[in-house]
Amino acid sequence: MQRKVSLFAFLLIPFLTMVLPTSAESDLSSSYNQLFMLLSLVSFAVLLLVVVLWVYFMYKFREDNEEVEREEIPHSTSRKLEVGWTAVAILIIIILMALSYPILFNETTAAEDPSNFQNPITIVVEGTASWTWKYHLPNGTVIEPVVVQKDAVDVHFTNITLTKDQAYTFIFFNTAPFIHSYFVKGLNIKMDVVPGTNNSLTFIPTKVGANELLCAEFCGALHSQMRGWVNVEEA
Amino acid sequence: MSTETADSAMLEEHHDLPLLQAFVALLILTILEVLFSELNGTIFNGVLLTLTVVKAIVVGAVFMEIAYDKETTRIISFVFVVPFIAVMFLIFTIAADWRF
Amino acid sequence: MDHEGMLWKSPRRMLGSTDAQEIGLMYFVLSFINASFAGLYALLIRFELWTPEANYFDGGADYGATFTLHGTVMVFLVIVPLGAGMGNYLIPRLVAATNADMYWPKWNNVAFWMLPIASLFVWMSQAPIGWTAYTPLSVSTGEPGIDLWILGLVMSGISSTIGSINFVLTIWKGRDPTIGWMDLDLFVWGTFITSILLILSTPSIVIAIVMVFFDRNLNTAFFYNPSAGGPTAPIMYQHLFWFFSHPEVYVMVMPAFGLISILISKYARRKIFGYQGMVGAFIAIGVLSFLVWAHHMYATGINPLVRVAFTTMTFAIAIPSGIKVFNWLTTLYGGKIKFGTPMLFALSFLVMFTLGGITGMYVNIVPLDITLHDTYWVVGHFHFIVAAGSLQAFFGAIYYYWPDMTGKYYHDLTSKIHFWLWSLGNLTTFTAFTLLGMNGMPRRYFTYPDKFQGLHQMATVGAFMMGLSFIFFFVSLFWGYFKGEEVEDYDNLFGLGSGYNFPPPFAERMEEENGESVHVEHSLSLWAGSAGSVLSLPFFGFLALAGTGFFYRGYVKNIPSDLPIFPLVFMAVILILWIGAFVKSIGESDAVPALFGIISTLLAMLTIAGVFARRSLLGYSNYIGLAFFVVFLLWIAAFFNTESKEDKGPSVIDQYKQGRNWEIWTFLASETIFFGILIGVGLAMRANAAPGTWVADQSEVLAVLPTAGNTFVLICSSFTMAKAVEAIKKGNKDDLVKYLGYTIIFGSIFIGFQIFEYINLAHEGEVALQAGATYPVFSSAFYIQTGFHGTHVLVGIILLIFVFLRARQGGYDEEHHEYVEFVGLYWHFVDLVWIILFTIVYLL
Repeated sequence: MQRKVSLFAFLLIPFLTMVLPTSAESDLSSSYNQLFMLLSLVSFAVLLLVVVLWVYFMYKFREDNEEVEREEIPHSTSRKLEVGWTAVAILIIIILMALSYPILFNETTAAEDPSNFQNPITIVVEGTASWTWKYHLPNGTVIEPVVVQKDAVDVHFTNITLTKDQAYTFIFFNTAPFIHSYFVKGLNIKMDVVPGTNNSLTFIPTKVGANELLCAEFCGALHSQMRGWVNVEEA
Repeated sequence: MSTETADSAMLEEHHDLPLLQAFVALLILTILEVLFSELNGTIFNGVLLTLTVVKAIVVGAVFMEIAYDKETTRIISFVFVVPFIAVMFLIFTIAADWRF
Repeated sequence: MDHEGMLWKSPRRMLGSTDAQEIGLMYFVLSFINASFAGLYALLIRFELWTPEANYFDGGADYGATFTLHGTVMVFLVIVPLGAGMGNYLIPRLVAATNADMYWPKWNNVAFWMLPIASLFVWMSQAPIGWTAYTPLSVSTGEPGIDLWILGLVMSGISSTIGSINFVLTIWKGRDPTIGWMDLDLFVWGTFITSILLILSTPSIVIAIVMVFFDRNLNTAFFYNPSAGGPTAPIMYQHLFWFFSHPEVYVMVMPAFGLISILISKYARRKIFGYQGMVGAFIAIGVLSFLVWAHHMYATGINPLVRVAFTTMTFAIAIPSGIKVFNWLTTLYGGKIKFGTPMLFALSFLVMFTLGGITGMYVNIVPLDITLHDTYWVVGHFHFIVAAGSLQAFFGAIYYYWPDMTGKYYHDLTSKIHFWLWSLGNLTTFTAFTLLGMNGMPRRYFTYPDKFQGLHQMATVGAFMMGLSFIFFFVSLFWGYFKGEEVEDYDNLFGLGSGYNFPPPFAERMEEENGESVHVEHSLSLWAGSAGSVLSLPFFGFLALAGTGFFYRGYVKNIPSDLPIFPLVFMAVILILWIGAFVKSIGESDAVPALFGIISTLLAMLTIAGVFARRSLLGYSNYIGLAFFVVFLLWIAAFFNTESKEDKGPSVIDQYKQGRNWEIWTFLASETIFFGILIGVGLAMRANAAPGTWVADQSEVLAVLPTAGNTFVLICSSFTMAKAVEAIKKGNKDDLVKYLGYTIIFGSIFIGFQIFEYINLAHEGEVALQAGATYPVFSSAFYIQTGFHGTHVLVGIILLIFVFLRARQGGYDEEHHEYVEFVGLYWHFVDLVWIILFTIVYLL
């Protein structure tokens, strides 16, 4: 009983430290990319293992091959194999959990813990019923969409310019009878814009450049045409 | 062999179910429920819910003969408990995620 | 098979067969017809996406219908029916079923024949909302097809629930008693767990889409209601939808797992490695599949702690799925592998499934999901699993069992061309999808930023390769059927040195071991066939009524004004089948159901033509809609009158089954989920209702005391029902009739009062649904809970009438009265639900 309690505590404490919110990093791109790279490494290793074994067994144990010894796997070995690979799988999963949980909260924690960000500028981002984006700036101006004819299709672009290293809080607002999603891959942000509720997001852009905004939740006929540019410039 | 199986299958034990007693109990419980619902407050709501659960158990145990079945535990687990847990998980998540 | 080839020449056999193998074949045909059209839609999508310009579609609206139907049909009308078909085809033989068929042969037929009509509804709908149909888009979009889509999916849900109960009972209670759980083929395990998943999860999606139907047509406020202030709880839809749809994706893949196990072990000449581990993995996947649904919702802004819970569960479910791949690989070790076409598909599955699993891992990691959610990455992930995975397993299995189905081998060279074209196409397209997603290309776009064009073109090339490979598939099979090599030695199929190795059939074993002869009969039942069509009549009725605004808010705009040719042609084919069956049945009692088959098909064609062609028929649609319900009731009356007169001696099931109440208990598990969700959702809506939208004290707006009286009436009916069962157990037939009669009377009083209550409430306008009603949210919850309960009472009364009439004819006795008990259990359950509902809705 004692051993069980201490084992539980042993596992619980690191789990809790992984899971509880930590201070948000200011630029999430690098940690996302690192996580992506790491997972790709692990995945590639697994895929390689599977493919190598696959090819090897197909070759070695093909019907024509008379020379190979075709023995049964003894029961003790097969038990060890099954336990072994289950344990390895569990271990890999735990490692992935450990690495991903700390930044799991960064999607919106930054908004819940804005003490990390100095003076965020609050902008209300509206997804409209006419399949356009609109930005309502704190000074009262509204950035309106521009319709551009692209490949014989009308695309609605709404462009905004942000300042590098400045914190922004986006509050999402939608009165349309469908859900939109604000997706800017270059800034690692995606947030559903749901009518009746106000999701929000706080982030700091750290790289100068132009980032494409795309709607990422099917909202009807003009879903593909609801876009924009989020430009980041030096202060 | 088939006739033996058939016989043992067909001749279930005849329990004398307390149907009338169960019916009267349900009647009384329903009256109590209506009376309790007039009173407000969490304790009374708790009592009300308890009475309801008791009624449900009476219907299940006596009318549906669950209490007299060979496989009482299995029936309760797979037809009521497991689905209930699954539904609880869903409803709990919906409630935790309510944002409107 | 002893009657090969004759199935397709005999309308009577096609419509009335209760033989699982024949029904399995019909499932395959239906699935491949649906797959061909859904595949064509996919090619349309890929053609459109060759360039960012509008290549085929004028804009997003029609494009939306194309990807919606591609997804909906492939999921509900191709992959799941293929699993059901393969199950029908194999499982009775794999478990050496005591009646050499599925547990309920006639319900098997009913479940199948609901699907062609469901397919029709879905194809006609051209719904443009995505197969996920998120609210509020699905509520606010005016296309009337969406209501058709909803009705079609409800029909297919009912069909798969009946089928699933059938599989569970066949495997659990119907198998040869000498075959233990751990002797069963892994395909049987896969189908067993799949069926349990369907039984427990289907109620969730039925509730979700029926709520959408109500929001659209009855002015309820579950998700979105303009007169109640707009969005009420759109995200709740996603929870209800995914609670079903996540187990559904495992439903799509577990039968395939079983088939892959069969193919790999046959073609490697080895027993599957780690049988117990594989069974454990199936069970683990089954349980965990209910606990991960919100991983589809990471970007909706949900509570971070909720996200953690679901991420953890999703990581957990990766483990049993992953280790299966290693079990399959290890099966190859020490084998003597023959690379026949089925084996090529199975081997390819291993890698494709691994790729699918790996891409899935990425999206479970929430920070990565931010960039990958709702992009082509997800599309790549699920196509690797379902198309390059499941569908491939079915290809392999159909090739492998082709000799069993037809007595001939398929054409080998074309099958290999099929395989290579298909696999290359898969790799090309789905890798392109994955890369597109990695670069941020969102889903469901018909035009896109130029930088994505190259990968889109790569995907299109692969898609056409897959489309072409399909042709080789059909050529290989049909060439084999008409001109192929006949099977000489069933014990050395494909040169493998073994046959299909089904366990010895139960009848044979009984004969050998006990000298006892078990008579097994596969009878035709046109009643069952017509039931499948007639059960669709209420759905047509709802359609006709909804289309005219009979409900508060029907969407009648945008109905195309030309005749829908394809649906009418399809129905005409079914009509010809029924006419053929009728002609062959004249003079027998079978003629009556055949007549009903003809009538219901004609009525259906009339609705389709009328509603869609906007002829003056539309003005009479109300009456036509009600006529459907009348015909449905007439069918029930005719069924009872004609069928029950035939004397049916004890069937094989009666002789070998002990305690048949499990048939109803299995169904009631699904009902617990159904009503549990309805009550739970009501509670959630209440807990979170904005002030003023929920009634503070129900006794002010609802007639609590009279309803308490009504509750008493229902309890009385339960009492008399219990007395009825007690009576027949003692052999007292007269008391049975008496008490059944009382039960019907009490039940009818209950319903009558409820109708009276509804009319009163609508009149008073507080607990009502018309625009301007005082409590829209409370009313929505009130009507859906009491309404569904009332419908269950109504169905119960119909069943009771059946049993009552049969009892009057002396059809039940002390030893044979299962149906009385079945109806009794159902009735008590409905009473039990009311006991809980009454307290929660009226008292608390």
